[in-house]
Amino acid sequence: MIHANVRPQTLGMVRVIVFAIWLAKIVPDTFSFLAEMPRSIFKPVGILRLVPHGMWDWILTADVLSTMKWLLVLCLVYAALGLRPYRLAAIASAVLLTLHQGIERSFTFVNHQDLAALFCVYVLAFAPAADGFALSEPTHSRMPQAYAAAMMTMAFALVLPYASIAAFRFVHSAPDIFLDDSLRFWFVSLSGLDPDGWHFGEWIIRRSRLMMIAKAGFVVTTCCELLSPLCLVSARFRLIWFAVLVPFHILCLFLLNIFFWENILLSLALLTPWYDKLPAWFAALRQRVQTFLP
Amino acid sequence: MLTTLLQAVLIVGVALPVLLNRSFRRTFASVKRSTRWFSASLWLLIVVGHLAARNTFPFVGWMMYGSVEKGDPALYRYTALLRSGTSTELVPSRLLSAMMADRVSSKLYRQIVALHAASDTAQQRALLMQHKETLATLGRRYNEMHPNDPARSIIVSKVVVYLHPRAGQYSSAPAFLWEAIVPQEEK
Repeated sequence: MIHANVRPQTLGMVRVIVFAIWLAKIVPDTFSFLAEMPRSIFKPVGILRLVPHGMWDWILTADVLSTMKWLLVLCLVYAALGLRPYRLAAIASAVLLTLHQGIERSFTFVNHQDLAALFCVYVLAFAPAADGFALSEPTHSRMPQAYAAAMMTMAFALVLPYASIAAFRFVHSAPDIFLDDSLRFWFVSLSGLDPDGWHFGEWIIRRSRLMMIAKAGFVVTTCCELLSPLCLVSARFRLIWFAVLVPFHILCLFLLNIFFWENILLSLALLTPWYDKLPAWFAALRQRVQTFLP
Repeated sequence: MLTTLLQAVLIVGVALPVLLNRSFRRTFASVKRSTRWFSASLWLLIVVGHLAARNTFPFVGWMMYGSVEKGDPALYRYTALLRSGTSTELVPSRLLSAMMADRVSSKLYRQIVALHAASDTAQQRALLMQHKETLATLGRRYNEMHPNDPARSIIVSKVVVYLHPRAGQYSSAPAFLWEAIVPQEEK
């Protein structure tokens, strides 16, 4: 089982990775643009329906959206650094991120992009994630297994949606979806959404051999997605999973103009026992540095 | 109902080796009850949100590349007619951040698809108005960034890409759909 023994520093490093992913997404985001969008297309989604209707007139202004964004950035930086009161900053980040992602979806459409990273924030807000690798003074949980439990919770929350996607595909659309022109359709329609994006999707549909490989790859990827939870219990399957899913995510960028880079980072952080290798890496690095020093 | 049940069986089936793992159980047995409840609730909400596939954000349905597509895909292009008399392609990713541009591009596409699928004229008219308002918002954004030669209107055109070439043609000729006026800022 992966993450059977986790140190506070390991969970701390994952905390930094997760909050840094969000910072990379939120800082450049033109969030206040939504204030200019027509209100007629705004339909509060999911949990956002709990916000009183009259509040939206106040929230959906450029000033409030901009303030919300920078407050969120502040909370994310604070939580990433593990400063006290960490819990407050992490909970505020979770609430503001939910609101941010919800508002964007309420104006556009509901999809799953970024949600695995959001679930990780929920876990990090609940777990003792600032006990190690933090700027504040280190403390240790009275229950050392809490670090392992947090890592397992995030890892399982990351792989469950992969299994869900595959289950939906198999139950609703197999085998047609793997055999017919659906894949060609997505290659064209998604790569055509952004004229400045990659257009290999439109190129590949005219190459029948490459299309056959793409279709076979689609079946293999879906099988790996379905079996994703096994990454937590089988080191051998993890290798197969990474060999299939990482190239899949990269190919999605070139063929579909969709890049879930955050999922690649989260997979590396949560589905590999990288921290077991850290002491050896640091030792090797130290040795190499010492050879260069007089 | 049957498809939901089948999906649930598949998901639980692949999750079982984890849930029954001795090390996994030992870890969760040794933490606080609140931690156990939190983790179990999160996993359950993820699965239930997916199976329900309703308005359950942030626990949503995960259906990427999950439905069979028929026919040839259509691509829509937005051309801004400028005050100088020239035109330029209106590309959301040149005006907005990557995350926002992806969402706005997909929204515009979905608005057109919904508009074509609408059954009655009143609904079509309402959807078209929303679509034109969304385009006008994008046009205003363009004008903020190009005040010397602002966009006056946006032309929407459609190109159908033939998945299997027809008489040697890979796509249709661009067809004009409609024009959205961009309100001009008063100086």
